[in-house]
Amino acid sequence: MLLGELEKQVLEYLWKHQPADAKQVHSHFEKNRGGSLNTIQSTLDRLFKKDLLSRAKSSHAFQYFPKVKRHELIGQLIKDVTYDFIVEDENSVITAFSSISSDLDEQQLNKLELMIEQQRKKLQKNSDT
Amino acid sequence: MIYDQWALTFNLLTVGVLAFVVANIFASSVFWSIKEKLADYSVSTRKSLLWLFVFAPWFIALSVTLFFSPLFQDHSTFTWLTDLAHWHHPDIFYFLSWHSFSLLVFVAFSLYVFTKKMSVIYHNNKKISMLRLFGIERCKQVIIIESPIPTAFTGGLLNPSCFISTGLIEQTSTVELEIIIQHEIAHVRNYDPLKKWFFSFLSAYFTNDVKSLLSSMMSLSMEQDADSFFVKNQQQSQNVATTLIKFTKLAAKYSIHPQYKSELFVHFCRHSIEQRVLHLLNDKKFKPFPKGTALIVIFLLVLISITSVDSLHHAIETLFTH
Repeated sequence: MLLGELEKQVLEYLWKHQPADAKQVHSHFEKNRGGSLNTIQSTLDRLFKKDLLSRAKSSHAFQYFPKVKRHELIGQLIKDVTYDFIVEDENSVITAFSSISSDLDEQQLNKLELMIEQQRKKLQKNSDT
Repeated sequence: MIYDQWALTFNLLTVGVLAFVVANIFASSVFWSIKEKLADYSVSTRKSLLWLFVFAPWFIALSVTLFFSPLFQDHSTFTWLTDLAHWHHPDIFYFLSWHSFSLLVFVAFSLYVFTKKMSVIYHNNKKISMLRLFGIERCKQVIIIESPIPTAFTGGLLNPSCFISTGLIEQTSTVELEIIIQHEIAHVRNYDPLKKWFFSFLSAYFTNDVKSLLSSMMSLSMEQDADSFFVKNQQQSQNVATTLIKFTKLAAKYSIHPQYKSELFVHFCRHSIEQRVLHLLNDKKFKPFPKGTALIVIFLLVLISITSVDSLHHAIETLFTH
């Protein structure tokens, strides 16, 4: 799923002001960036087709609201991007600072920390003498 | 059945495929027997050696194909070698033969690997583009993403960027954050995501055990390289090691929270964190790149592959007459 700049802006607007119909969204964007009602309607429709928005008919217009919260969408993207690491590292195309495994041992980490501290002291001692 | 130039081309491709398989087996055996010794080399040498292993079957296959081509076979200079190995009837190619079958299997497998790897790029690229769209550019190639998950990673193949979450910024000090960002910038400057992808493509031709080990060794080497990319002295090494431990503990704390359990990176086992810390603290002298040994091994592998292709050809043709 790829999003265009306007799609992202519409989604950001709906995260703050939901639910809203095409006219309400258009009146907001008309002031800020211009564009016709048709453009907004098709953008809302695209976002609906991409499964990012839900809609419900209210009198003659659709009321749109986001299907997922902002932090949920970003969390899902992080999860997807890093998923290869979890299941199959050979297919991974990202590199990360650190990660953990389920068998991570706190004691082992403390031991490593102690080792760093000892070396730090040794270095300090050497520089003092 | 076809004759002349096209037949020669198809026969040479078959030679290439056979040589590739033979070279792959021998390169895997060499790698497996020296895998532990790779730790005696510096990170950059280790990376070069790993690249050499995955490139070896391709290079050897090309050399063997050239050897069986008229370029070599028609010259009297290499008579002793052409007596040793030669390809029968290179100007005739049977489509209904083991020659075309082996070619087809190789092409089909290559297409499968290529499609799989391209699909990884396609899906990853879409997700990375979305994260870029929702992120805020902190500085060139550093993007802040609003998420409570403490995370930092580099993504994007041709135009890599590093992504730092607000959750990480809130839970680390300025110095620690700088270390993490520098680590990620090192990945960006090295084009590690692209190299990792290409490496995984080349290693896909090895058996599962070899493939997994090659990938994890390359991942570890890339991380170790990024760890010490900006490090100038022992004190800085210790700071990177401390940050690594702190971040790992932070990630472990989040794994308890069911909401974030699946979002955690688990590509590195405890063992590799340990190896990275030990590498940062280590000041031992590493062995230089074994140029002589590498050249001798490659030459021997080319020679073994040439004779093996000839013997294999004879053996199969004795069993099935095409």
